Amino acid sequence: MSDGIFWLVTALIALGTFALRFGFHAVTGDAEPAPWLKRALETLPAAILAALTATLAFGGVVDGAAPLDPASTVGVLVSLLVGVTTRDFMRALLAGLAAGGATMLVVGIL
Amino acid sequence: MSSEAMRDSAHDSEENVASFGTRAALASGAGLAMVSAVYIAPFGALAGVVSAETGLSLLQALGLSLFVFAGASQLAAMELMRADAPWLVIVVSALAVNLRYLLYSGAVANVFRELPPKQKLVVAATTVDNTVSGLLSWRRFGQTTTREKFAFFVGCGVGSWAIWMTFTAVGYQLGPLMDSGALKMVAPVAFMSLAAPLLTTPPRWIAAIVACVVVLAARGHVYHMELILAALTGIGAALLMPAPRMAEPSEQTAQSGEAIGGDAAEDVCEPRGPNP
Repeated sequence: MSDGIFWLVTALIALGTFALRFGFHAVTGDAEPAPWLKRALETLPAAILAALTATLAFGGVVDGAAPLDPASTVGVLVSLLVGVTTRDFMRALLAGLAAGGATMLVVGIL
Repeated sequence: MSSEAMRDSAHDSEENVASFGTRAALASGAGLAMVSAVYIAPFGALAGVVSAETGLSLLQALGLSLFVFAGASQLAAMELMRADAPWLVIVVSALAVNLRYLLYSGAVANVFRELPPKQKLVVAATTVDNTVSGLLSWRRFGQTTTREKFAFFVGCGVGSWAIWMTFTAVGYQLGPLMDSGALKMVAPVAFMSLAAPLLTTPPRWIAAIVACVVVLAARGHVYHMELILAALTGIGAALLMPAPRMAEPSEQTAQSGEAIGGDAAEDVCEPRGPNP
């Protein structure tokens, strides 16, 4: 990728992301979106974040480029369990990182 | 009372309400950023390592972290760069990853409604998972003025940004020297930690499961657009489910930002963890 294209891509992502971040600050008035659009927007983070998790944890395996990573797998499962039951981001994160780290130690020893 | 005395006592009671202070709020925000370093630092380091592996220069790596300031989309973009995807696909995919920031803006736009436009731009620039969830779960939220909330938000945002940039550089330089195995685990765990608390209703479970299946099944077959496809099919599957019984119109909030972003984004941002 050429330097010019890289900075074009970066600038476009940056501007687009800023527009998203500014999003509702620009909205005035009481216009209410359609119910289906509301539901779509409400499910959007769950869908994207789940897909990202799957890509990061298992994308390499699907490509055939990397073996299944036990630390990521265990970490993600623990984080899912803790996150769903406690609804607490930090607790899910720390539990997942601890579980993943422990898995790395165990796998390293075996 | 003379009119001067009345003005003074009114001023005094304002002072009492706003007694937390903008400087204290700024410090609280910065403190939260420090605490959040537990995941911002390794995630930033991972961004740095991946930047080096993608063949970017240090300037390019720092440029991404500075101007985009969004780890998941940076990682997604760099993966697509390594795969020689067309530049438009890279841009659209990265923006698809960052769509949740639109909901975050919905959550905070209402809080910062009274701010002058330039300060709203600053809020937008520092709108990340950390700052939004930190603000909405701040124990002093109810007792502080808009200005103090702004100070908290910016303190947290700038602190997070500094940590993000620093560790991007650290990861970039040290990456080749160390086994990034530990770091590779951080990103999926961090995103699952963001996703899991959101899985509160059947439609969201359906959306998440369908999106996961699609993003992996379509990988390699759809010109790198599997993430966008996964999001659309996930949402589509959720919409196909029978709609919940509609609330009375009067129960729905008037402000569109609060209606869309308030509920959903509050779920996204609802950690009940400790806050300074």
